[in-house]
Amino acid sequence: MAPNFDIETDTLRRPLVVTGITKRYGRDAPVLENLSWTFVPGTATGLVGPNGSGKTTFLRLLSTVAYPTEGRITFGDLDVHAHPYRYLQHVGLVFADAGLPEHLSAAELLEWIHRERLGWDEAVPSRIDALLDDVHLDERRRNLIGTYSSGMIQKTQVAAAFIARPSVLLMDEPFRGLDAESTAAVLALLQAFTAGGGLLVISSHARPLLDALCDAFIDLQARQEASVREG
Amino acid sequence: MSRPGRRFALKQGGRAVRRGAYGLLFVVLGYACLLVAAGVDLETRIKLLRYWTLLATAVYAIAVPHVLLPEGHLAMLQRLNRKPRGLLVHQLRAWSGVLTAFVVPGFALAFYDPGRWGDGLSVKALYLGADLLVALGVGLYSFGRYVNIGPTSQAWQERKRGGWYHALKAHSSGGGFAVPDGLVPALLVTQQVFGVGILVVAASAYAGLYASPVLAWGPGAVLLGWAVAKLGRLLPSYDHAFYATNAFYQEVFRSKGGVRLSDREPIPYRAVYWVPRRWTPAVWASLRQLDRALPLGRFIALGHAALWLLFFQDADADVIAVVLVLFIAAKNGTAFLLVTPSFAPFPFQAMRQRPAAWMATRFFVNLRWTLPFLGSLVLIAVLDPALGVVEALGWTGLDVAFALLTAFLFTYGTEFRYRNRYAA
Repeated sequence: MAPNFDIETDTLRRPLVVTGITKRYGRDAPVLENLSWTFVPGTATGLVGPNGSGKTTFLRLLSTVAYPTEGRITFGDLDVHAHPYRYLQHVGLVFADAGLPEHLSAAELLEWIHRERLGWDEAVPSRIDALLDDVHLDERRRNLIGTYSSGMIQKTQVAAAFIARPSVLLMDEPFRGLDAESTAAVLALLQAFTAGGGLLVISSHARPLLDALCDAFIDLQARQEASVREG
Repeated sequence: MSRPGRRFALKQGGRAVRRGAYGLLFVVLGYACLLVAAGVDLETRIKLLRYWTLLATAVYAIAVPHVLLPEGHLAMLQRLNRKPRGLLVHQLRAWSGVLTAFVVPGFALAFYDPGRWGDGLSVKALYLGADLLVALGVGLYSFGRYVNIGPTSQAWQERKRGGWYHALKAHSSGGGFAVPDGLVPALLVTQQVFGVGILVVAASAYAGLYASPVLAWGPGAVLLGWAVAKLGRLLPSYDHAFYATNAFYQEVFRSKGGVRLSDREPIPYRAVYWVPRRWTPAVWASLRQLDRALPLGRFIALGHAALWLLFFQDADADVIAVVLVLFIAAKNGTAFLLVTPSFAPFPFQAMRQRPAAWMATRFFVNLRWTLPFLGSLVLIAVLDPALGVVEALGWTGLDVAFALLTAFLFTYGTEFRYRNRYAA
């Protein structure tokens, strides 16, 4: 059965709009230059390009851990860099570098995030278990994250991104380290997310997976000449 | 699943190492204060408190970005999406460790008076209160200046601001600071905070001397109130300050697209000829990393200059002893950087060599400046009868002992613990 994503309806209508973004590090040549794009709710957009083309930088800008040299990014009428807290209330993240606390279990991590962001009720434990089932994290979900394999850490990251019921998902290589079965499970989760009105921006070198998932692509090798392909 | 209402705290990685380093700093500072405070008269005690406040001011002016930036838990803080107030509390909690380290030993300076515990208690308390207000004021003022510096730093880095500095740098050979342009605002803030600190210490001392000890509280109270008010004004947009400042510091210190820290020539492999061959590669790699993060040689040179000045000013033997202990602790404490995750990612470390070998490596890293240290002390001993050659050798022995102790503590807190955990 496809997971049911409970996204607040008012955020479903909000696009993520990138307007004239340029990012340079110091005096170096810009990594991204004058890039504009509108990410529409209910779609998945793939960031493609070779190593160093700016995929991670673009995701860092979208997730407010980097600030643009020029241009702005808005979520509805919200400037994401001026109001990161309000914007991040709607966002789930998978980072290239997981940065998870090693002394908690995956279940405890999800509990923590849920308590901080959404509060608590009796239904949450079963929701956490269902989400960990969805990403195929087995009974070791009660073990400490510090003892996990790279694939298990990645599953934990994906579940942590979903637990706060985001309407926007920003994911940097979410399939890295996953076995075939888990990859298919995460792919199904993401497809269900966009089908339910969620907005997904994803970077991955697994092009066949992106082809199966994405409605559009931004080719960052071509920089501002980003190409669009219907999925 | 845990019971409802359970709270989790975001804890720092490598807690044992941090606690060990913090405990060591606390013990050294506390011991230094006890050593200096024993048996001095009230007037000297007030002067010592003032010097102590100046030292705290200098540390507070420098330390904020080193302690807080870039945030080690940024990914988790984003997942949790802490509110602006939560982000402020998170950073204040981290900063409070440094604040406390310099505030608590002040009590020892004020009240440690064996045989005369009750003498002049109210006066001691009044002057301690005045100095604590100054220290806390400077500490919070410094905090408020740095945590919001990101947008300014990024504008300097991208040359949108700081035109006067860039022009000065272009027209003077060797002009400017040896840091990326974006870090210049932080250096300017350091100077401003220290300048404000000196003025407030002086104002407080002046009020205490020429008006009344009660009025000595005024300047510190005003600065503290101002710093708190500034933080209050920043609170509604603290999330912007937090993310913008971390974005810049991540770019400078961590990201692949970041800038180089220094244009200095890195240490060549042949320069570590004095290290046993078994550990030479690891010592060389450690020193290269350390040099890129910290201009330790300059600090060592400054420390020696201060020592020479103290000796030739005929400073009190206890004061010199305290400075030497602090100098040795700081010199060897820098090896702590080598066990932080960006220097020592565990799987990589484990593949390189065994924990005992890492301990030896850090011991030799710490010994790098020991011979110049001995040379400097022997030279002082030759020129100044206040220090004997045997004493110089004794202090060098203490330095070697600290080198071994810190190498053991830092390695025990990381590689040994990880090995035991994964071997279990």
